[in-house]
Amino acid sequence: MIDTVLIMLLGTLLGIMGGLLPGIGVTVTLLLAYPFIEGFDLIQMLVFYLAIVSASQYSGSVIATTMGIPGDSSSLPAVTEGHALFKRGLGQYAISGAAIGSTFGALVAVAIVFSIMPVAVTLIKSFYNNNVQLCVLIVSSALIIFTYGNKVQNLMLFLFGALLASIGISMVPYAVMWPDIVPYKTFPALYQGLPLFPVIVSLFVIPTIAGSWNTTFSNLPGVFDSTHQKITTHLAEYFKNISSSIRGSLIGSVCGLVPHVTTVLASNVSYIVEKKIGIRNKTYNHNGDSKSLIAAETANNSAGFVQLMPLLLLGVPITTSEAIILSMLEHNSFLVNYTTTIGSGLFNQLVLWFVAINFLAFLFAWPMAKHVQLLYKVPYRYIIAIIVATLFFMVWYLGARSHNEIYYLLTFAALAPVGYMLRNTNTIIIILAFVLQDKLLAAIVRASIIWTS
Amino acid sequence: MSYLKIRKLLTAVCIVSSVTLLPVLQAKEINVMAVMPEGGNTYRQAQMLADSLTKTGYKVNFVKTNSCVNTKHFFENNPQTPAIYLFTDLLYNEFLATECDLPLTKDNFVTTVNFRINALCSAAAIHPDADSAMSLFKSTRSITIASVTSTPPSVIESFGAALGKKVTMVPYAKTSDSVRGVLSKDADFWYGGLTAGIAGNEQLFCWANTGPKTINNMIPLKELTPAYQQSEYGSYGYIQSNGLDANTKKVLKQDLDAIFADGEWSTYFSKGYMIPGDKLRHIGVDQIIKNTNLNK
Repeated sequence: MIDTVLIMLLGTLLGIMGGLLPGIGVTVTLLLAYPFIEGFDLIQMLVFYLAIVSASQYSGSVIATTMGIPGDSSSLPAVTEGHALFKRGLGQYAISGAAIGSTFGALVAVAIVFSIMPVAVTLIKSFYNNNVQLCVLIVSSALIIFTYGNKVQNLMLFLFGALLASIGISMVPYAVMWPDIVPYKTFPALYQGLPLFPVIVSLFVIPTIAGSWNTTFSNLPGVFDSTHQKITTHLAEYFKNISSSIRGSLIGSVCGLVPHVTTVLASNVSYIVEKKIGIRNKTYNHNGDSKSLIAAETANNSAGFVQLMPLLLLGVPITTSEAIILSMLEHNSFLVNYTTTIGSGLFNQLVLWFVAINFLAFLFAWPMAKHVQLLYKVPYRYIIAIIVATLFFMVWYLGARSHNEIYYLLTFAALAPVGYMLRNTNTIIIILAFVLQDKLLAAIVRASIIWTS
Repeated sequence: MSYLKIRKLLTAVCIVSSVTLLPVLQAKEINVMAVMPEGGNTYRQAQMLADSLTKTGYKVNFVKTNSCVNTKHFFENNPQTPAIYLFTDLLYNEFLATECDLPLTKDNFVTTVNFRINALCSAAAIHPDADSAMSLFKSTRSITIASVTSTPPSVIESFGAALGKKVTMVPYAKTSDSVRGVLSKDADFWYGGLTAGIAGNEQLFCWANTGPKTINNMIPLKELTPAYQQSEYGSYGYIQSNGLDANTKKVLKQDLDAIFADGEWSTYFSKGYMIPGDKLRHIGVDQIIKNTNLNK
């Protein structure tokens, strides 16, 4: 028991660190922790994994809000809305709202999973039917393109993102894409496709930073207002947005099951839906919207728990990090299936640990909100310079980990001017299209094979 | 014997032994390449190989190239550097799709590591026994099989030819995706590498295998469909080398064969229902080269 508590603490701390460092995320944190995990038993491994997944979501929103840096694609709404709130002097509310929303989302996800448990296996299996997946992906893409803003422009941005993602080898269909156009022979690294992190930095962070260059913290309302420190003020502010949080939980619980894009799809679809509702009700604040932020962050953590269900019920991973933890479990001779997780009662224990992890991560994240005001004392342009240097280093570092540093830097250098030129557009659409492209293409190809067989 | 004489004698022994042992020690230095990124099975096997060689006394330099392009680049820049990597014919074919060719030849082949058997499975909820699964083969004119895209098309096509019906492969990028596919009724059956995870998945019912004998009630596919030319198709794991002379390769092969026959590796093979290399000595390098060329 004490061992597992220590493992939970360690996982939570590693998760928080992983979330704070852009581009690191759950997968890399898990790989770095690999040597420590060897001797863990089944529940300890799963607790450790859940701690990393959940805690990184909390700290990811902190860095996204304060610095405008997305830890991963699921933090894009926090960069857009949280950072805008931060620049308005409401960063502490943004962070506390995201943290409370994340905890709420986790608890709602647990409640949903328990309520559907008798039919969970059947429901989840049906959800993975290619026709259902195709519908989910088409509806998500349509929401991203047609919900708000200039629809033609959104469509062009989506197509641009999908085009960038299609470079390299497609697994379904199994083919090298655009062999006559893309100079694969000259730059063989292009076969691997464009790496996600430099694409996010150049096409999302650069336009965001370009729009913030003239921001100063002087005369911002309420920056040093002592009422910001009172927990009751933060809770009251959060409960003003409780309906957004509930919607986020529900969307997150469904999107969390979509393979490979779980939390990314959950947070972004939830954000888009909430923004649409806000615009329709004329409550959306274009200078940072709390409701949209809280909906996205709540959805994030709901998805973070729900995404584990296919692994626990069917023994099938749906994210890279789950595939890694499954490989570690199998390496240690642990079988993961309905009998060993649900039938043995292990799942009930895991839920209790998950709730504890979320409260722990919340307690870690909360003090960060209090200390945000220290950042206001630093000239904003200095902060931007630090952000750019950090991102440049991370692009290099993540590339160097796979002997691809030149390729990562070249991708960044080639796309950064495009990102700057697109600074007045909604480039979040490019990133979402980049992430969804191969899933959408594979689902279409499979549907055509299944329907004609 | 005086102290001075002993010192001289010891010095002479040191000099002679260092001169004679130096080439041997040098021969024990090797680069072990990880040709796929961290997190996957190939990377883990490369790590296991590096650890085992280190324990045997080799000075191992673990090189993470993570892709075919980087591996090829490494060899082009270091043609004389002694290096080995654990490769499979499936991975070779995956790399070939990127127009990156790391061909297996008699010169660079070191030893056979294992043979991974394939399995034919169905969703346990739909076909909980072999009779039920077989009845589908007999009753319908067309069958769909979920598999990963790296499965050579000829393996599926010749299955259809042997059964006299249309067999269509529903392709997936990853094994886990293809398992989800058959469980969600995208396809009638699942075909792919038999691993501990697949065999232990209680949602799947695996009832035939491409090995020579029955495993866990999985009958050999060649008994089920004798006319199926690829009924014994599986994936060979082997050690491929760069920059090794014939003598060094011979010594290394002996060491590697001993390593693969030891506890850790034999447990690894038996857990994954793989046939270990020492049971495959009758399989020549030509057969493995033929397997690597199935997708060409």
